Amino acid sequence: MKYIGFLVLIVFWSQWSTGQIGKKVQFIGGARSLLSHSNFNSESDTVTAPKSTGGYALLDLGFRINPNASTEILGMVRIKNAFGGFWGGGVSFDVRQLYVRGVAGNFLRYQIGNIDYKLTPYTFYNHNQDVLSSSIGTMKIKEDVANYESFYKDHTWRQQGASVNFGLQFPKLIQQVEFNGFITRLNPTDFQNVLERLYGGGNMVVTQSKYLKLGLNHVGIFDLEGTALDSNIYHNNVSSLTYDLQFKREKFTYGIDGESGISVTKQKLYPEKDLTDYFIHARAYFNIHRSKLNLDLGYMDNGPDFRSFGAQSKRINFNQENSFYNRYTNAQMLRSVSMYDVYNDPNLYNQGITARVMDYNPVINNVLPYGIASFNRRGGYIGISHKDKREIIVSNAKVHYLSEIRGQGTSFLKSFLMGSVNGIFHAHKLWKGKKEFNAQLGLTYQKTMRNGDFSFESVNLESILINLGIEYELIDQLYVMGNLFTIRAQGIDQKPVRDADDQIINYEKYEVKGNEMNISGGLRFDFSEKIYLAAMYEWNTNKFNTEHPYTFKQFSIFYVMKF
Amino acid sequence: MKNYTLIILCFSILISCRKKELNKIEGPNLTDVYGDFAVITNLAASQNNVDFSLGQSVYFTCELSKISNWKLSIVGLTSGAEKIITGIGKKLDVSSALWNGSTTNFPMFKAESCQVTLTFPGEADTLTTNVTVAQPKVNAGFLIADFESGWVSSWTTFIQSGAGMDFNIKTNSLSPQQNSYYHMEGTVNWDWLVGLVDFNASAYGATTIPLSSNGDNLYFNALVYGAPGLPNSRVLFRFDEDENQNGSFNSTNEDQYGLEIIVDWEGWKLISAKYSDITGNGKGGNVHNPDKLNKVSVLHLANPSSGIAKSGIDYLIFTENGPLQP
Amino acid sequence: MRNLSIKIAIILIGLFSHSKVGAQSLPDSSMFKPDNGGLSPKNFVKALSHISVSGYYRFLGAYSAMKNQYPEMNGIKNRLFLGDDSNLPQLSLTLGISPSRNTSISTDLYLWTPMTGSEKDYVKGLLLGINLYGSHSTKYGTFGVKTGGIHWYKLSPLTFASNTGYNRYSLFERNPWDPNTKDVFDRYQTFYENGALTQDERWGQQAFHGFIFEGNDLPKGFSFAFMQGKSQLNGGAAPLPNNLTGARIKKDFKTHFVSANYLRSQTYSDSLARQMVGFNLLTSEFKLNIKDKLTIYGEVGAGNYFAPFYEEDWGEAIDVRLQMHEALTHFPIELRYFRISPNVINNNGIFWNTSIQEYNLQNNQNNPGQAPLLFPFASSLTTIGQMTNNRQGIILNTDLKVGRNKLTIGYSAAGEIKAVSDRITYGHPANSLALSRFWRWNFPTGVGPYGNINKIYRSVYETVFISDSVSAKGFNSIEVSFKTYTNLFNRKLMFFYLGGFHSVSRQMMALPQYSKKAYLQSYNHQLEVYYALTKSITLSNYFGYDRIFGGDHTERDLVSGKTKNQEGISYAIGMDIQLSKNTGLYLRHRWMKYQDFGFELDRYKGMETTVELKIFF
Repeated sequence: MKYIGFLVLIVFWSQWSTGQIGKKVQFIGGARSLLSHSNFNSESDTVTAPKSTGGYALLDLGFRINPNASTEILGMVRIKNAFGGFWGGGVSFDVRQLYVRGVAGNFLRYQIGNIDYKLTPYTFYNHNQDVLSSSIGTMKIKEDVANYESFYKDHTWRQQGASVNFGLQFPKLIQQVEFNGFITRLNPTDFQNVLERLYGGGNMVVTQSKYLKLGLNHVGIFDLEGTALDSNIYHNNVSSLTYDLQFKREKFTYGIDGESGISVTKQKLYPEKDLTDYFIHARAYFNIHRSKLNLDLGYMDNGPDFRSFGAQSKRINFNQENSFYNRYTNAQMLRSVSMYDVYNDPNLYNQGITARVMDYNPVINNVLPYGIASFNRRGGYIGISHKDKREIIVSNAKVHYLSEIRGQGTSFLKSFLMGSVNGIFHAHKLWKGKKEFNAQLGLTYQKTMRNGDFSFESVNLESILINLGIEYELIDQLYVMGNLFTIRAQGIDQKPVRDADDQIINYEKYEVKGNEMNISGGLRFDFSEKIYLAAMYEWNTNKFNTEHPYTFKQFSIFYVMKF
Repeated sequence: MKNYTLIILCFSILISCRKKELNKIEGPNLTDVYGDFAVITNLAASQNNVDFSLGQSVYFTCELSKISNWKLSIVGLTSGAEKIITGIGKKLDVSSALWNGSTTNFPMFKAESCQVTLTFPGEADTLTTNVTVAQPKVNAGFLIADFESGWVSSWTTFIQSGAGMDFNIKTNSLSPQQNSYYHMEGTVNWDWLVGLVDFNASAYGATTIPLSSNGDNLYFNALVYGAPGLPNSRVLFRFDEDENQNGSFNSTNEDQYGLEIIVDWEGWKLISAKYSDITGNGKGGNVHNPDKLNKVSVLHLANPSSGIAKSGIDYLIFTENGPLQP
Repeated sequence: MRNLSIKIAIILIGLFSHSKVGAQSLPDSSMFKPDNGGLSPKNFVKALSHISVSGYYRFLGAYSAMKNQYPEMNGIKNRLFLGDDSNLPQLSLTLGISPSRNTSISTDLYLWTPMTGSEKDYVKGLLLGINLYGSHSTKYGTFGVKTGGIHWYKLSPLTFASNTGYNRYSLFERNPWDPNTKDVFDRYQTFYENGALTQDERWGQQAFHGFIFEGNDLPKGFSFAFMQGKSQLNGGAAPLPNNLTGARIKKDFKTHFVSANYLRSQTYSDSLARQMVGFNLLTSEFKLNIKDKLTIYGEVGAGNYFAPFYEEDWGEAIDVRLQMHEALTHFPIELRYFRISPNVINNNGIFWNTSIQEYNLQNNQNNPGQAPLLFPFASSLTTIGQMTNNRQGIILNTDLKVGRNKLTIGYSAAGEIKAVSDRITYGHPANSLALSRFWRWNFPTGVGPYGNINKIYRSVYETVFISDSVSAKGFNSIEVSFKTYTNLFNRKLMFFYLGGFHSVSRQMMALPQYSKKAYLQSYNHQLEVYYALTKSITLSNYFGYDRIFGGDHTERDLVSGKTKNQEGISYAIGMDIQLSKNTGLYLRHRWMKYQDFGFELDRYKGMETTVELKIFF
């Protein structure tokens, strides 16, 4: 023990602490202007107004204040004016973010206010479950806007609370240990029947050597007793171990990493509804340095009662009404959320954890609807990624073959197959051109199957998503963009209907045969890496509702700035 | 090498830890949802005779081949009262098909035979059984009036001298509760008031009506009749509090609360209101003191130009812990 | 313990750098790395260290005491008003941010307290909104983009611009946007010397909200502009399209130029967007300079209006000026011809639409009962240079200078092309601004004791009906502006006189008709005197006199049986005080009297005091 040296701290990211603070007050943020003209068409629809014009200009202005060398305060306001509002009409003011962070006592890093946080893929992680294919060009612009609006970056969730972080270094046995902790508020009490609900946790990361790293992680959602009249206290605790055992050789690196753990979900007044289960996820990897070829082979076993809402919360709320032509046909029926809405409607996106099993769209993702932390999945996957020496082609492919662990409504189990391929071709590197030319292909195929003794037990649902994009630099900084995005699905599944406690109480037959296609093209001018002006035209057809298909055409101009 | 073997061994142990769940299924069985519909066990009542006045209850059982929507209808063969219970499931049992003697559609049940019918939306099957109500449900609470024993001398009335005035207790099949109700009818073309009845505390042997002092947990309930084709009646329930408990109500400095109902329906309807939600004139400080009530009045009102007005009241009762479940 | 040492543990960027921010859906190979969690971002994010802030503070207070006024004022004779209902705020800040060398963002922010006595009455907002700019220079030219909020912009005079007139206007009452000058007397000195003021950016321009794309310094002297969005007349955030599109291509030749311009306004009269409403206007603007002696400047084109059940054709729009310079004629002379067809409408240009009652689905300045489009609709008696459609005419302008005396004379003879209206509208220059303040905030129509006064922005116009048959009327105007100065006790004393002599006749006439045969005769005189008392104080005086007569064939008062016979008198004094650098205090006190001898109720008498404090920073 005497050889255990300790202390020291100082955990902060180097540039932040070494005097690069500059002025006491600095400014960060962004601005965006959007102008769009749309034309919606549905056959025989004489009620829905087909044409619309809209847009806005907004400015996010953040004041970053450094009262001293170890403290930073950021307050950011958003000023937005709607298109068409003259002399102050259609103006709104909001607070976009507010936090203070710093280093206390030269060793403890803290942040209070808005925090962007994640831990591990099974405890606290923002999986991107519904955008399965990467994009360039026009779709990339839409993705960027949606991610910016929802604070999605680097798989973190935007929360309101506090976090601390510090580390210890040791001379022997262990190199260093880092501690992270956080506490956030999910909802306040209403002083009636809604209890104060918090979400907290942390981890301890042990770097034993250059070969081995271990992480002990724990998160929990919990209600504070006595903060409301309801006494049904809820808990959802997840504990896990992450590990990375790596061996680096001259020509290759190999190893095994993964995460395993348990979850416990409890309600004080209804112990019969408690759920406890475990999960295992292990991945073996083999990376060849010279050829930049990486291979993975993985196994996952996520119990049917495994619940971890910090990792299983979805970005998109499929029960929300979309905000763009949300009703159509003469009967003014609700228009379901489509992939077009996923890319264009930031209002559909969650900005926090939802402590219950969220609804999903089987067409978009039926295999892992909650990301790799999806419960009731077991199986393996194999993945490969490759970059050639000049990075002309960067590609990756992955195949998941999974099955349920516990049948839903029957003892027969569903099996799942998901294969995806993504590749970007930097053609200009091939002919050493000065003008960029990038082409991207994304393809995802999903199949869900189950046999049974009765016809109603059998399911067979297939979907395929294709995403093609190109970018060509016509002249310096000016790009032509094109994109084709299509999703097709056909088949039947039995979708569970859950009650307020997430227990399955019924099934609804989900039958689909249709497709959605989006073709877009445009021009983009890059003033700088973070500033661009783009004009694009899109044509979208949706035939998932076979009785009432529709088309959208939209012309829009984006001017995006970040600073 | 040894290390790698150890790791692989641990891993294998972990993987093989999970028990098979072949016999466990999540949620209801699909057969229960999509299978063929069939009645496995017929509809039956837990007892043929039930005395609700003693606090008894009866439940119905039936077992089906699949989860189905169902509707259980109990009809009093004498009164015509109807109780409807609906649900979804594979079986009916004490948790889903319990009858405590309450009513869905007026009138309320009497001591009578009842026919019980079980139907399933979308299915042709109809199951029936019978049950006899030995005595109807007695509702907990303080009964102001049900008119079964006729007129109580301590009650007082004021009836305008209009045309066709008829303010009397009627005993006939129209009564929603037992056999009698109070009928209010007349044409008064100079005043909104057609007539009123005062239920004085003295009728209950006290200077104040014996009620709880907690207005937040006290409910006033009454059955009010809307005459077909005559939606012009209003019924005002008035509550006078004798704040200083001198035996009389002083309208200048004591609280009077009023609950006015516009009777724009046909048939009998239950009116319930939490006592503390009823608004008052504020003359006595506007603090609800139901334990100081010394009179409940029922006023029958109608627009003087609207012609004849007809209404009726029955079963005025104060309950605690919730509105009346008739 | 020997090995025990205190080290500074720095979490290396490298430990976290593998959690790369990229396309979110690409496989994240670092997902399971135990140290991948925690706060984000882990890298220091650079920020801007400077943003610019400028703006102004303006306080305006007005007190009026009326001895005699319109009955609809309900007997309220004295009014105190703090603020400005011209929609300009008290404190206006303009923030400027430059994220990169060739892009910028600007936004204004205003704060206003109406001083009601309540701590909670504050107003905040944006006036022009958030504007985003970008420019890029290439060897082919410089390209610029403007988008976001409101930009002041000009395409060409007939398509998208505002009328600047002939600089014959009164300086006495300051506009809300008038800047402070370095010395307080400079305002008047500049006007004397240049015949014009240093104006705010909006001078000659119109407000535009949308997207503007420009290219300048293109090869062969070309430049272009493209705009898509809304003008004030298309304003409103309703989703039904109501847009303005414009474009311009221009070629410069040393001292000449020619351009092609296009403007289209389009909306729909039904929610299913099947019935279009709007107008087109296509013009060519040109300037030809002949040896610096003669300049031919003008704009010609054609336009049309389209709406459900409207079937008129395209019409012509011509505005040509021949400017003879001093080198040729010893004093400058301008001869101008204009002709705007009744089928051509465009209230975004320098002419008004007075012939077609436009379908107007959405106008964010329009509330029921308010003046549609804020322009007079009828046969309008206008100042020289302010054109309307359904009219043609000639204008002659000249500037004469003899010593210190400068004389500008304008003469106009115009006539309607089609007989469309039985109404004539006209203004009251002497008391126009004060009269407009009788009704605050809104722009009501049909007010006044006879329901014939309409309030527009900082002015009013009155409507008179003719009593005979409709004809294509004639309009004749003479305007005189005289400026001179002298010295009094070694301080400058400046005189400005502005006179207008107008008549409206039954048909177009070469000369004015000064008799009751004319539908309307309007004479007005405005004399202003400014004395530079000290370097920081200027005394100002104003005398205004209007005389307006309705002709025999105009409406008569039901009681008196007489036609309009109006007299307006106004006398005002004021003081401009420079309190410090960029800070000016402007005081005005006006006595006003107005009476219509034919219409008894149309009279008022009283006084008004205004105090303006303006500070720029």
